[in-house]
Amino acid sequence: MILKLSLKEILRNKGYNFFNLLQLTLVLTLIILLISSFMSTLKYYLPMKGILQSKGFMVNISINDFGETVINDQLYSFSDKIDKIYSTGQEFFELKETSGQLEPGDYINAITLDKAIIKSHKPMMKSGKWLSDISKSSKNDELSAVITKNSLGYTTGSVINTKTKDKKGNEKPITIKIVGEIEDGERLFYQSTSAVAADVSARTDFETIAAQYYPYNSSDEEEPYLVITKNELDEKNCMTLTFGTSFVTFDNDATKEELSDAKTKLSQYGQVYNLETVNKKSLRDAKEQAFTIIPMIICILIFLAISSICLSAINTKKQLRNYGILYICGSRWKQCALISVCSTFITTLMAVILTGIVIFLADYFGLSKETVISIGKWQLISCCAVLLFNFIISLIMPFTIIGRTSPREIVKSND
Amino acid sequence: MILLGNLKQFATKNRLIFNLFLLCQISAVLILFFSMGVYQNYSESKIQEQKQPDGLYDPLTGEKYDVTDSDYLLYELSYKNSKDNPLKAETVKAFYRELINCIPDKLDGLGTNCTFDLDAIVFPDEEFDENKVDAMQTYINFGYNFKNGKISSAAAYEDLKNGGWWKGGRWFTEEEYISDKKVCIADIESIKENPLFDGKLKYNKKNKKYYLTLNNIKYEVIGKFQYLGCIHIPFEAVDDNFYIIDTLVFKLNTPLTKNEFAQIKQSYLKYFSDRQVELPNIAVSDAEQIRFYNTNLIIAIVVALLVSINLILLFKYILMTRQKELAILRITGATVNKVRRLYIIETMIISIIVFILSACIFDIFVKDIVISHYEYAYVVYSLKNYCITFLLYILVIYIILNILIYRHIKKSPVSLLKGGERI
Repeated sequence: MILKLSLKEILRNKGYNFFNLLQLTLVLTLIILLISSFMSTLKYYLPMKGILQSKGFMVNISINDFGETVINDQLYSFSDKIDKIYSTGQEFFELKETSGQLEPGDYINAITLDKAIIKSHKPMMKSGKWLSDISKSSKNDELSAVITKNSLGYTTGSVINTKTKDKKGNEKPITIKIVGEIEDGERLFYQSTSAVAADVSARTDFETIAAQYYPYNSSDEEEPYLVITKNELDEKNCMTLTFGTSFVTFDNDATKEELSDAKTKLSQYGQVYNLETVNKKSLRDAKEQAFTIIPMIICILIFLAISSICLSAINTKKQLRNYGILYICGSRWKQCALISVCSTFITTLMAVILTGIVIFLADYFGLSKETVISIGKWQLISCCAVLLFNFIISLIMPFTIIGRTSPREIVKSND
Repeated sequence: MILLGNLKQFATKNRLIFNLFLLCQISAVLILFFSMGVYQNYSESKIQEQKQPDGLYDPLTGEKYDVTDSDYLLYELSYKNSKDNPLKAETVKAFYRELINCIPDKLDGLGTNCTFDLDAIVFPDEEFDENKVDAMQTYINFGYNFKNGKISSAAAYEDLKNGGWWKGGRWFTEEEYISDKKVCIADIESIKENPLFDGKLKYNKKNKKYYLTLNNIKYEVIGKFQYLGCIHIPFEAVDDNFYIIDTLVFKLNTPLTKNEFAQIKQSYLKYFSDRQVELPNIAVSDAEQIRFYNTNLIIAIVVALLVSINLILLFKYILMTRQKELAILRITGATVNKVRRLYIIETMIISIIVFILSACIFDIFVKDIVISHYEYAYVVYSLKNYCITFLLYILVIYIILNILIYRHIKKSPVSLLKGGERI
């Protein structure tokens, strides 16, 4: 019965409810946009927060004075107190001539990243999927990789049959399956060798997490890259080379001396940064940008609250006479309020569907590629909070307005 | 008096709605001003990001280039040149033509210098010969200057005239500048003394004009200036067989997008791949940052849309509350126009007062806070922009009210008396 009355109420005020629906759709879209924009300012910091807040170092590993590199689990031997290592590396895979385009002996460079780093940032893909979105191959001689824009003809679905070394240094055949192609210009966790990058990095504070991500522009770079999960190489008994920014975290009970000793050993292979400082600087950078969004969020939320209250009051006022009649016919104020809530629920449901369509269309027409719109946990929570607020207002408002007037006055009033 | 009476009645009889109406309008105006600032800020930030992406630094001082710097977005392309395979004007002209096709709106100018005499060039792999005439002492300049995305002869003349080297005659007309008409501007005095031009410069006493014959092509000297023995020849009139002696220069007004840069790189390699070339570091804007700005621009637009829908809903309600009054006015003989005017003026009075009040509140209390957070927002908060916003606001309200009122007036007085239901 209440549902029927609510539907009747909606249909009776088609024009008003149309604008109401439109407004709610815009509010939900706005919330998604705001939260997406806000989250984008923290997108490099938040996923790495756990690592950055640990005790340890960020090391830019290359080679030591004797030209030695760090291979396999060698870093763990630097201290007994090392808890975890999130390392990055590089591999070179020989390319065999397949289409007549490549010369035998050509190599393709691969960036290998720890799965925590892979998970921390998902670049926009031109085709296929990012490494964190695929299940790893169960075959021992097969690796999954994504590739950057290239002129070698490799794209999603391509297979590279090549060889690598196992942990003992023996050659073993391996098949690299390309599962995705990264959109050109996307940021990757790597150190670009381009001249532009060198120019930029000379002026950028390297001691932040965001500085570790650099846009890969095929026009600036000399060669394409494969990106592979380093852990997968490890699990498949392949030799791994640690090269580039890595994070070494220590047990909580590690003493200052132990840390200092490990730092000395690590610094033989490259610049060492304290994770505490990296965390502070990264947080400062993230906050700086996030603070430009916060005033916008606050102002818009205040406005949304005011307009929501106003419109709910108007809606209730409009229905007041009907509620009065229903009251005289035996209905209780509680049931009247329920009608108001029910009609709000129906409008809200329609608005949610419409917002879904808007987001889908934005994605379909490529708008999401031009913006930072994304649907995540926080976007959904915020939308739910706004909808809940809307419900509460539509529940409270009838009581607030009705409570002041008697049914007789309501019916008598000719509003 | 009727108007004021009506307003007073609205304020006292429907106190809650009247107060909410005022509150909603005030917040709408405030948020409108706020979103204007946000829009301005992110739109300017986006332009700045596109104009000054990372990597645009002076290689000598290490300072970030300013848009007013003469070297800002000025690129010089070098190439390998040898006597066996000298770079000819034909190749450069073809490359420049592709550049113009590719990025017509972003070019400020392009050009280079050439000579007609291969022997005058000292190639990098040659030993220095002091008896040779330095080609750079007598060079032919060709290229294009641009204004608002179009090739402009006047823009090139401005540059030359501002330098104070102009000696007389006339500059190329716009038609001459883009055509292959054999005309030129030359440093006559220097040319006369240069042995390289022996027998090439002639004076016609009949029409009192100089003529230069280079590679058997006769050019009429239409203007004179004094600058290092230079000759200006229109781009298309330069002989394809002239030899390039300088770096290829082009200046942009806005940094390139990733795709534009890729296109340019492709053309560059097409024409110069055999010359061991490397394109200079042309900075492109950060796609991620641009996406962030785009999102915030959309937010500002959606907020403005939301404000307008909110106002529509308010006005719609206020009209509905007064349906019966409208019916009575109609029954007692008021014309449709009179009723419409009455209602519009009533709402307008409130809206104008609210707008002025809100604008003052914003300017005094909120503006500085917004500016402190959004560095480019200040541009939008000028008296002129307040007035424009006011006019737009009033215009939009006027249109919306007219549409809403028209829909109400269409109903018969009896229907209005029954609460708008169809009879």
